[in-house]
Formats: sequence, structure tokens, C-alpha cells
Amino acid sequence: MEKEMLFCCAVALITAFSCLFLRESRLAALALLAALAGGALILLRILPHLQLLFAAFRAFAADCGLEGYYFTLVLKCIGIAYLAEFTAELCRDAAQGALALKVQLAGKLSVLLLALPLLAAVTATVAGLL
Amino acid sequence: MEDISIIFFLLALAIAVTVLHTFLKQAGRDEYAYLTLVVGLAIALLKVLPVIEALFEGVQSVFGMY
Repeated sequence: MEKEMLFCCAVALITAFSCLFLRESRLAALALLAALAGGALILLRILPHLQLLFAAFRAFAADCGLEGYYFTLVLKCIGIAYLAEFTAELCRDAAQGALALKVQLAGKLSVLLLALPLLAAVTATVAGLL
Repeated sequence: MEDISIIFFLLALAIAVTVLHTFLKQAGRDEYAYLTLVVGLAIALLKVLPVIEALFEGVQSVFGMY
């Protein structure tokens, strides 16, 4: 794991300094593209470990008697939130704050829609108690 | 797995395009100078696109979004 951490630090630093250089060159758009590529490289390196972590969490949840369906739902929400944040930050780097806000809105809406069945289940449980 | 060489490729591409652009502009070929910019951007996009695709597919499979 420390090897991955070292790789991530190296990629981040190299990308940051490259972006400084790229911004001064004729192809200033490449700075954004390099930042995107660097972020993708880091993420691609840590994704397998994330999968291990999620498998462990799923096992814990199963031990506690939580249904796998709910855990998958939570996982989906995290994934959507993460993707929305990643894209929005990139848009903000490209000086497109309005676009970033719209992406975030779409992410929030998606998460809310995904959580709607959960909300319905809670309401049904409360109604059954009363 | 992709590695860091793509960042260095982008750097080299930017240097080459900048030099070519300056050279062509000095020679008075403004239309070719602009064309180098477009071609450089297209090459960079073609190079970065597979990485982004791999990232999105990885996120999709890890977070269980299909």
C-alpha cells in the first residue's frame, strides 16, 4: 500500500508542475487535459484497493444482518457523488462554474432518486408502527 | 495499467506544438500555424480518451453502477 501512496504522490506532483508549464504554452487547454489524466491515473491505481475495502464492508454488513440490496444502494450513491464532484471540480478548473453547478445538481438529484425507495421503506415501517 | 508516461507525452506535445506554431507564424503561414494547434489538441484528446474511459469503467464496476 505504501508503494501506491508513493506513486500517487509522484503522479500528483509531476502533473501539478506539468500543468504550470502547459498553461504557459500555446496549447493552454492541455493543462486541463493533463490534470484530468493525472487524476485518472491516481484513481485507477487506488480503485482495486477500494474494491477490497468495499468487499470487507459488504461482509461486515452481512454479519450485521443488513440486506445486500441496501448496501449496494449506498455504494451507488457514493459512486455518483464522487463522479459528480470529480467532474464539477474539473469544470471549475476550466473556469466553468455554471457547468460545475449543473453537474452537482444532477448528482444530487440522482442520489435523491436512488434513495427514494429507502425513504418509502422507512415511511412504510413508521406507518406500520402507528 | 496506464502509467505516468502520458503526462510526459503531453508535455512533449506542448513543446513541439509551441515551437512549430512560433516557427510557422514567423514564416507568415498563419493558417498552418492554427492548424498545428488543432492537430496537437486532437492528438492529445485521442491519447487521453482511453485513460478516461478506463477510469469511468473502473468506477462503474467498483461502485456497482451498471
